[in-house]
Formats: sequence, structure tokens, C-alpha cells
Amino acid sequence: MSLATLEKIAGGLSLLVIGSAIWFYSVQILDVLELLELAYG
Amino acid sequence: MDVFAFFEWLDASWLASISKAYGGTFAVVQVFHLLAMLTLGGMVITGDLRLLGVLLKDVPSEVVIDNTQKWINVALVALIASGIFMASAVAIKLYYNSFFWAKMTSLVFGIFFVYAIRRPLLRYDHGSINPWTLRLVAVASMTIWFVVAASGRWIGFS
Amino acid sequence: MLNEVLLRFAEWLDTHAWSTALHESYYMYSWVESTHVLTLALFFGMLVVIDLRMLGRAFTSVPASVIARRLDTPMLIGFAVMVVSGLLLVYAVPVRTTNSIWFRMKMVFFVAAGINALLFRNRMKAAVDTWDNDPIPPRRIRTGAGVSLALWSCVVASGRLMAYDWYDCHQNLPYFMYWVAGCVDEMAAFE
Repeated sequence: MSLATLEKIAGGLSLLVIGSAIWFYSVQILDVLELLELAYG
Repeated sequence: MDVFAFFEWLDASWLASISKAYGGTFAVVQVFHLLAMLTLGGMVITGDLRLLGVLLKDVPSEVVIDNTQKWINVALVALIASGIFMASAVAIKLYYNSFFWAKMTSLVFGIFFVYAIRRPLLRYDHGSINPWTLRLVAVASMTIWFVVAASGRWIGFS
Repeated sequence: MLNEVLLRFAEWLDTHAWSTALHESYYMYSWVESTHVLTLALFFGMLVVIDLRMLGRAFTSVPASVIARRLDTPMLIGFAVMVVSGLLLVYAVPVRTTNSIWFRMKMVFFVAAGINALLFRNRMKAAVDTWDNDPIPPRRIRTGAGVSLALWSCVVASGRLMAYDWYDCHQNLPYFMYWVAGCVDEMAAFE
């Protein structure tokens, strides 16, 4: 595989990883905020 | 493919009989699993922070990646071997644990990312690679291993 | 006597509302614990890299002092987070932790590892010019690095084993074990 192709795949997958991780943890954080609201809100 | 059958088989295997007969073995293997995870983490952090230009700036990043990659290989072998042993002790429970599946998914992806993307890319002269690609790969690599380790810890909580 | 004092202190901590709140909060407690474990990858991870260099097993082409000096800061950042999250964990579960044999072993290893680190640091600084570029450092340096890795691994191991209740006070143990764990009430029942 040429460097240019590899760079494109690596960059794309990396963005995908970072994006999914942000989504994954933001769901958890929202969950906690909701719990806090239930408890103290 | 019947996935549950595999877990039933693992649950009844000789490996499981060792870990179930002696509670202490499970704990000891768990300690080694943890130590291997920390070695992997240290090497990933060192390599990726070098790619981001945070650490060891006066050492060529090719040298840093070369040295850390060797220990990443060693740590992964130790992690997988100890992990299979641990899984055999609680196979049926794991099958129903969603964090176990989150961890396996991210682990498989992590291994793919290291050996199919990160390592082949970093074989090129780092100066010839687009600096933004390097940075993205470094952040993604740390993110994946963080998710793998965090989901692994969370198996015990859920 | 000391056991008594420690236990009373732990019981006093236990009466704090914040201690109970942290203990009972599923997400908060789990997050503090995960932080404690994952920050280890930074603290212990950097330590592994430095010690492997001193053992001549990694970064052999890079001067030893460069590795030690450059990785010192991230290691200390990791250490600070470990201490803070660790204190929070003790605060959340004070009595059981105080009476945990594993926690007591962890503290002993911790002090030993700290002393070794101080001695090792001075020895390294004193003679670094003579072997800095050697792929494999002299024997006394390798010994120091090996001892450091072993002691910190013991700290990690005994920390991990705190999760198991094999030697908790409510178990049926010999008097000596109750004494080591500081199970004051159980010791009194023996007399």
C-alpha cells in the first residue's frame, strides 16, 4: 500500500475512533447528570 | 456460529477447572494481567506522546516507536494469555456482561489498529508523513487503549 | 495500641457524610477507582520505561539520563493523581481499608519502594557521566532498577488484592492474622 492511501485510511479510522469515544462517554456523562438531577434536582 | 456454546465449552474446560478449584490462582493471574496492562499503557503513552511532540522531543520518534512497539508486542501476548485464563473462570457470567463485549470489540479493533494501521504507517520515515495524520493516529491509539482498559475495569463493576 | 488508634480514626472518618456519599455513589466511586487504576498506566508505565532502560532492555541507543529526565515529569503527574484518588478511596471505605492486611502490606511496600527510589536516584545522578551511553548500565544500577520494578509491582499487586475478603476481620483467622490486620474487636474476643 502506498503512503498516501495508508495516510487516508489511518486518518479516517482515527477520526472514527475519536468520534465514537466522545459519543460513548458523553452518553455516560449525560446519564450521570440525569441521575444527579433525579437525586438533587 | 454459536457464541454461547463456545462460552459453555470454555466454562467446562480444564483451564476453568484450575481457576475454579484454587481461588488464589485467579487473583495471581489477575495481578499479572494488570501489570501487563500497565506496561502496555506505559509504552502506548510514551510512543503516542512522542508522536504528538509532548515527550522525549530530543529523541527521534522512529527510535521511540521502535522501542515501545517491541514491549507492546510482549505485553499484548501476556495480556491475552492471562485474559483467556481469567475468562474461563467466569465464562458464563461474562457472556451476559455488556462491558465484556464492549471490551472485546474495542480490543479486536485495537489490535487491528496497531498492526494494520499504526505500525505499517510508522514504518515510513516519520518526516514524510502528514503531521496531522500522525497526531490523529496518536490520539486515536491512546483513546482505543483507554477504552479497552476502562471497559475492562468496568466488567467488575457491572 | 496503634491498631486501636488507627481503627478509632477510621471509625471517625466513617461517620462523615461525604465518606458515606462517596461509598454509596455507584458512578462516582467507580470513576474514582477507575481513575486510580488507569492513572497507574501513566505512573507505573513511565516507571517501567525508565527501569527497562536502566536494565538495558529498552531504549539502549538513547542515553539513560535522557530517558530518566524526560519521563520524570509525566511520572510525577501520575503519582500525584494516584495519591489524591487513593486518599479518596481510603476516605470512602475507611474501616475495611484500615483493617485490610493487603492495604497494610501495600503501605509497607510503598515506603520501601520510596526509600529505594531516593537511594537509586542519588546513585544514578552521582555516576551518570561514566555509563550514560552504555546500552547496558553497570550492575548496581541494574539491581536498583530491578528492585524498583519488583517493589512497585508488589505495591500494585497488594492494592489489587485488597478487593478480596479472604483475610477480612469477619473471617475465622488465627490471632496473629487479626493482629496484623488490626482487628481489635476480634482480638479482644480471643482473650
